[in-house]
Amino acid sequence: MAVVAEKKKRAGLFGRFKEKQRLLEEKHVQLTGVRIQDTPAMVDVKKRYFIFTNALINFLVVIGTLGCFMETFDVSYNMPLVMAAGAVFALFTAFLYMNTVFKLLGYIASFVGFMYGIIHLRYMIRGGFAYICNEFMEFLEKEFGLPIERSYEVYGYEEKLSVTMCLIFIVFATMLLLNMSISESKNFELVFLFTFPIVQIGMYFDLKVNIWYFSMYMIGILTLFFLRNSNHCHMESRKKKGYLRRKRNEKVVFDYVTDGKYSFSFLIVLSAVIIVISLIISILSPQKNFKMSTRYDELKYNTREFTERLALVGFWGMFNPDGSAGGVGRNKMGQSKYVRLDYEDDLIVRTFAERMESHMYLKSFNGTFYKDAMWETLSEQKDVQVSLKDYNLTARELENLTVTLNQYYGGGYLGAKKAIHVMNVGATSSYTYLPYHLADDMQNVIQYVNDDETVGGLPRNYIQVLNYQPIRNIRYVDEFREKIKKENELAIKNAEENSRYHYRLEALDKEAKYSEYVHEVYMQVPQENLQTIQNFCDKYDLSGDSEDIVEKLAFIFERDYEYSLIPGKTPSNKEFVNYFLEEQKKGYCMYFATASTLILRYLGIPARFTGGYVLWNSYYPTGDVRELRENETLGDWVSLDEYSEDRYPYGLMEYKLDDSMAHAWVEIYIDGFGWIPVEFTPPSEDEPDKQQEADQSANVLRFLADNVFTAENMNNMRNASIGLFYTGITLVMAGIILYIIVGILVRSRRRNTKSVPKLYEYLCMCSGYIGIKREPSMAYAEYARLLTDQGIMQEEQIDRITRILEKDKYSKENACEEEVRFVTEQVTGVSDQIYHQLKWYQRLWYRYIKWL
Amino acid sequence: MWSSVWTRRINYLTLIVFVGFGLLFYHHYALMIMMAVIIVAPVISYIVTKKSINRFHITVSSDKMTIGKNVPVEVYFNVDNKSLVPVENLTLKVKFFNYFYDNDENYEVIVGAVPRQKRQVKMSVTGIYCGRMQVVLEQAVIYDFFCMFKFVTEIAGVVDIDIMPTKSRRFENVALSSLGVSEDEQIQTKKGDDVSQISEIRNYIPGDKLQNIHWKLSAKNEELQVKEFSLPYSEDVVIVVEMYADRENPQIFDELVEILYAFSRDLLMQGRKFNMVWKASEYELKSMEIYHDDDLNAAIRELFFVKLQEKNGETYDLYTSLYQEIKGTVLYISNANAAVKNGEKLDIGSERVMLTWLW
Repeated sequence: MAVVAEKKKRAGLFGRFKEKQRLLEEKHVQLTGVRIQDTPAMVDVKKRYFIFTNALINFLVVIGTLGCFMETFDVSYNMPLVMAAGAVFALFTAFLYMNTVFKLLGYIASFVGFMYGIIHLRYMIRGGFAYICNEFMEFLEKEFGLPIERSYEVYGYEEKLSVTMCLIFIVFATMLLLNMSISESKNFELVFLFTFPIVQIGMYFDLKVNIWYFSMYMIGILTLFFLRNSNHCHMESRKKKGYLRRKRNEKVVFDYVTDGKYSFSFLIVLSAVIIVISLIISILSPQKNFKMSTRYDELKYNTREFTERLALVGFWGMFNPDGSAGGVGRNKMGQSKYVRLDYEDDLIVRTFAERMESHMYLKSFNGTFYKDAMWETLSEQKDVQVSLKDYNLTARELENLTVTLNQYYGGGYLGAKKAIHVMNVGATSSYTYLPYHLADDMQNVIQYVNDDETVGGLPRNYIQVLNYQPIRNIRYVDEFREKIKKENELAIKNAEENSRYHYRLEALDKEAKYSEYVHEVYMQVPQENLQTIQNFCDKYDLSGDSEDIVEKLAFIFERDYEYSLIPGKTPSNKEFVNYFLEEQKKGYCMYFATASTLILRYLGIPARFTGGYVLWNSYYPTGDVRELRENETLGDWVSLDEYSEDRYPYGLMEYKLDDSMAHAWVEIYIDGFGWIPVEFTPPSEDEPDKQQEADQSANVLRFLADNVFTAENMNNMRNASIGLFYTGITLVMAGIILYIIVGILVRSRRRNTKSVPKLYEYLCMCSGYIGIKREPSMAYAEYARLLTDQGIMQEEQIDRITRILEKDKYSKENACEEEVRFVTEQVTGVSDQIYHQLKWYQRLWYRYIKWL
Repeated sequence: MWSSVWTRRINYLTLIVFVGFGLLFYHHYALMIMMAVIIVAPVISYIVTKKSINRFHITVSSDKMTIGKNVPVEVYFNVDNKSLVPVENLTLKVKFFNYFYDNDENYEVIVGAVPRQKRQVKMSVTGIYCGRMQVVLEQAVIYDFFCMFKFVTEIAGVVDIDIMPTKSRRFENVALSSLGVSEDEQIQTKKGDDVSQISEIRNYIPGDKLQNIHWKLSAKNEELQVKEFSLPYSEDVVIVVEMYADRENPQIFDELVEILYAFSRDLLMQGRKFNMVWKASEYELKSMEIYHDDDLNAAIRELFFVKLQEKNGETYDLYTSLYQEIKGTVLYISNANAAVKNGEKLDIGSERVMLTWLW
């Protein structure tokens, strides 16, 4: 209620203000004795100039932009055809603003045309776009020396044809979009923001920009700038027709809304000026002689890093700092075409790296159950039948089991205890990142530890200090397993012989129980993957009894599969692992770790998927050297008993881990020792050899034959096209019917109105259709004379109507019923008379369309 | 949002700075061309516009020269741009006012002038007071191509439009028949009849007033007969018009003109000639003989050119001092505040205007 009252109050204030203004104006009229009847009107104003100017600006801007970009790169296309299409589209889009009917029908036609293009030519258009993008990506790779490895399918279309079609499509869509800004308000800012980033690409990379296309762009954009700056940039509307009135410095100013003729002449003269100046400059100072001081080069080169990152991660990748790092995360796998890398620091790690140490893994979580292309942790799976309790074990008892066991084996498999500082500066903050084999009581360092997951991250920039014993390099897992087996047997024997070592037996007993638990829990393979994995194992002759199974599997992946950060999406009707193993055969760490985990489980080896970060041992020498601080001693970092410069040749180092070091790997369980990390991801190859490229091409053709141009697909496309076509037709028909119904209602209401001024207005509208227009300032008598002269009405009738109107408007009495009836009859008669004078198509327009 | 010359200059400067920064950043030839264009173009524009000012022909015209009160008249502002410079904001400085009162209002009409073309802007205006409405096109401001420099040119185009009083007003309550008539005649005259003598009976000619038809004689002769009147027996009637108006209240003088016109027409309709007298200069009175409608309209138009007096009653003073001894019927029309020493006030149904029978 209060809001309503406030609204009323506001409306009242505004109303009072308007009334005050009106009274002031009236007072002025009473003084001067002169009343301006209406705002002025420019005689002989044609809308077609307005439309033609807008079309020309749109054409210049869009073709100029496209030309500046396309001429910079070596892509073959048919520019004259694109320009011809552009000219047609520019005129078409500008004509949409002719009137409401044009706009309505034009946008419907645009929609139908757009959809038709998408349905029937989508592969050709996408192929053309892919050609352009691939060329651009190739250029970026060369320019920055980056292994972007981003390429798009061209679907086998001929380059020139598909690129031309794609450009025509782009021109159409862009013109449709920009025309809204150009026609309605000459919105320079929006058009500039949309187009300049494309125009400047060539300039940014110091490439030669075609000066003619640039001149076209310059003419278009400068015309927009000046017209936008003028007071006449907005389109005329019903409210703002012809001229606007405003009061300025005690003067009344009548300013015109827009003038197509002026805009057109401005565009022509500006074009002439620009072309003449450009020509003179080109002659006086040719492009080859152009030189500028290099002192400002730094400005541009400072942005290179940013651009490089943009080229790598794409536009949206720049806004995804806290998402899945390097494609490693808990999201459903196979849903994105490529991995986005932001190259921001995620973790900062400080430690002494050991010469013989394996890769330094910082684990965040384990995936235990594979379901619907996602890994679930043990704690997430509520309906697990088995738990540690069933084996009389607790998570706490298992914390340092591997470290304890390692001591019994002479400490040969783990490195010396040392400190590590881990600081999360940009990684996902819901996890804690832990190295393998912590030497501390884990309850002191993290909030909660499950069997397979660290839960509860630490705050950003908090330095987590941990002690751990790194795992030594394990070259062959089978060999390691054998060694552990022997050590284990020896440990049991020693323990049995010497009662002092009975606690070793207790530890080994716990391990045995845990091993049973592991074999129960970490062996699950989903039903839908069994057949594919079986086929895979059969194909590569893999079985549980095979020797060096881990190394063999890693070799298969390295040889027959490809590491790629651009694997493409998994089709919605395919299972992620099955598709990867059978068809896709390329991917990144998530793909290999997931598939390997399931294969190993199938082969009877307990395995689990693991995510986190990895610092490859080859990177150990590349960190930043960090000196010990004043309050630090060497003993704070390493065990002094085992310290030697030979063992820690790099000293205390600081490593910055970013998205490129986010990783997924596999843990397998070694009986008698515990979980160890194993790599199945093949190394990336920056430059594929010719054979691989040829294979890729063959793959593309095979892919096309198998996936795109299949009979089923073509049938689906045809059905979809027909369906969409009928839907489009139905929508158009429904729109027309609705339009006609509303029209009939409006006309009916107009004809049945009891208001004499409205009836008179309707009469003016009707007569206006046959060229007898009544300007607002025209006297009633003058209009009456026009009607009688043209034989539309008898003098007596129109005189009477005029008298009735004057009485209704100016006297205290309103028109009586009989008078209203008379006016209604006369106006209806005139309307019918006009209708019968028209040709059939004019009648259609007059009766069903013109009512707007 | 209206942008002034300074706004445009600032915007243009922003553009130059922006392109300049682009040139430093990209150090590219294309931007060097653009920079050259935006620096050189305004200079060219300034020079060309300055040279072209004389090639703009700007006039004002109207479709009617005489109209009634509250009747719209179209006023046209014509801009003929014979140069090659498109001018976006060609600003016409216009005044509309009634010559009597000289209370003007300034208007600015902005036109887009297209090279080698004529543009016409139409304004529909009405005068609410009788008199001479003047439309004065004083100046035109011509801007250069980019609207950053302006050049003022004097035009001094004037259009006069006479706004005539309405014809519908009648004074039935004034005993017109008694004015300037001898007592004998007054006795003979019946109510509603004319006071003039019939000098001739002739056949009807189309255009003759119906009231002059001699119905009895026409019935007798079976042909329409018309009475032709001669001039009155007595001296002519003189109407002295007090040309004073309070400029803050133009309605009063406007009513005076309306009543003068209506009263004069009533006299004419009764076939009475009279003289209309007003003060033309400090010591001079202007007199016009009114025999028929055309004379009346001419007199009224003549009146529209008279500069109004500064003081109320000046005409009365001058007339009475000069023509005290002249015989005849003298009527004095003035606003209600005029000081009249002798005479009889006639009831004309107005509180602001009075009609006095001086002698």
